[in-house]
This record gives sequence, C-alpha cells and structure tokens, in this order.
Amino acid sequence: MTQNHNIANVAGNLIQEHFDLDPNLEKVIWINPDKTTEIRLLEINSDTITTGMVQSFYFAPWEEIPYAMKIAEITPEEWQKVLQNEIPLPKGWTLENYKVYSRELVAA
Amino acid sequence: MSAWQNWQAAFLRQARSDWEAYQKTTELKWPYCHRLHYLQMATEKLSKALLIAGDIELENLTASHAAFVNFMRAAGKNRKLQKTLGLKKSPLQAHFKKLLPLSHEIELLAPALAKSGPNPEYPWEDPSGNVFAPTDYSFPLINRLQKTPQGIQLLRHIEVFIMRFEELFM
Repeated sequence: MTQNHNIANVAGNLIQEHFDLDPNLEKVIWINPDKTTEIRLLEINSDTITTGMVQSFYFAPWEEIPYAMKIAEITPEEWQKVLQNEIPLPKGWTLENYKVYSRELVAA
Repeated sequence: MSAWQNWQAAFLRQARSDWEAYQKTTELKWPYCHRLHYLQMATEKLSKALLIAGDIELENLTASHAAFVNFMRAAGKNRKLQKTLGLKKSPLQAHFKKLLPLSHEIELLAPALAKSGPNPEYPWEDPSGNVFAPTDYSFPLINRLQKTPQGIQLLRHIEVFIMRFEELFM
C-alpha cells in the first residue's frame, strides 16, 4: 500500500467519524490532499463561532492516526469568504488542490 | 528549535505564569476582576500555544483575543485527551460541548470582545447610563465557575491542559 493510499484511508475514516459525531457539521474540505505527511481539514460547521479567521489547531500523530493533523472549524459564511479570498487560509494552505466531503457523500 | 516552537514555548510560559497569578488571587480577598483577568489571559495564551503549531500567521495570532472556544472545540477531538479522561469518542465531544458556554463567557472577558460590556480591565457604561469599574462589579461568572459542576470541571481541565500541555497536545 502506498503512503498516499494510507493517508487517504485515514483521512476518509476520520472525516466519516466527524460527520457521525457532529450533526452540525455540513462539509469537510480536505486541503492539499497531495501532502503525504499531514492531514489538513477545514470543517464547515453551522454551530461554531465566527472569528473572522481560519484557526487551525494541531493534533499530534496518534496510534489510530499516525499523521499530524491540522483542523480548523469555520462557519458556512466564513467558508464563502475563504472562497472569495476575503479570509486567508493558514500559512502554506492553498485552494489549488482540495476535496470536498458532504454528509451524503460519506454515507454513500 | 524552529521559530514557531520558540513562540509556542513563550506562549506556554506566559499561560503558566498567568495561571499561577490566577491561583494566587484565589488565596487573596482581591476583587473578582483580577482573578478573571488572569483566567482570561491564561486561557487565551494556552489556546494560542496550540494554534501556533497549526500554521497560523503570527499577526493573526496577536490581532485577535478569540481562541479559547475554538481550542475547547478542538479538545473535543483530541484522542490523547480521550484516553486521559477515560472517555470514548462521542462522550468526549459531548463532554466538551457542555463546557462551551462557560468557555465563551471567559473568552468574552477580553475587553475587545466584551464590546462595552462587563470586563475585568476597563470601566463600562450599562444601557441605563450607569458607569461601572471592574473592581466594583460582582461578576456572576465567578459563581458559575466555582459553584457549578461545569465550572469546576472547566477550571480543572484548564489547569491540566496548561500543566500537561506537551504531553496532551504535542
């Protein structure tokens, strides 16, 4: 199994789990899925508070998830502003390459 | 040490110093504003110590005081905490969700977020035109922190997070 395939499986399982745990989670954006050393997730959640910025928190590698993770929660309105370049992404994150996961998609 | 690690260590040292000051105020009969001021500062720096590892631009980190609520939401996804607290995934998230309203109240103590309302640093005016100094205000939040199960739990968590940060978050 390649490292890319492994990280895709881990990210996929994690995203599904986050949808299962949080009914207010609307979408998950996997930013730069080509990166093989860490998982960067932007979680669009109607229940989170508006800060006007993308605050990504670090999660150290762990038994079940052997990759460093950076996860930011933003509101749907903030996501629209990110798409319009009104709110910048964290350092090194780009929208050149990303995957969008919806609740329907992961349930399928 | 890389640049962000130096910043993280500095935020953490300051969080620990603010927390120590907070604890000292609990031993003294000082006005509540001082206790809450140190608590707000300790939680903000704790949150920023983790944010700095998450690719945030330094100017964004210092420009805003809002970070603690998002830190607590992130804590609900932290597998190491799950093990430390002996909880499964779903209860862990639910456990932290219950603590969010009080976390938000602590975050809103920062004068920039209090928006001309009660805060532990500067005088403010209420809608009736009464001007308050923080030192004279009773801060009902103190009772919610010290006398409710959620408040007691939240303060315990904050202490553990600050003291065992490297083990639990890095």
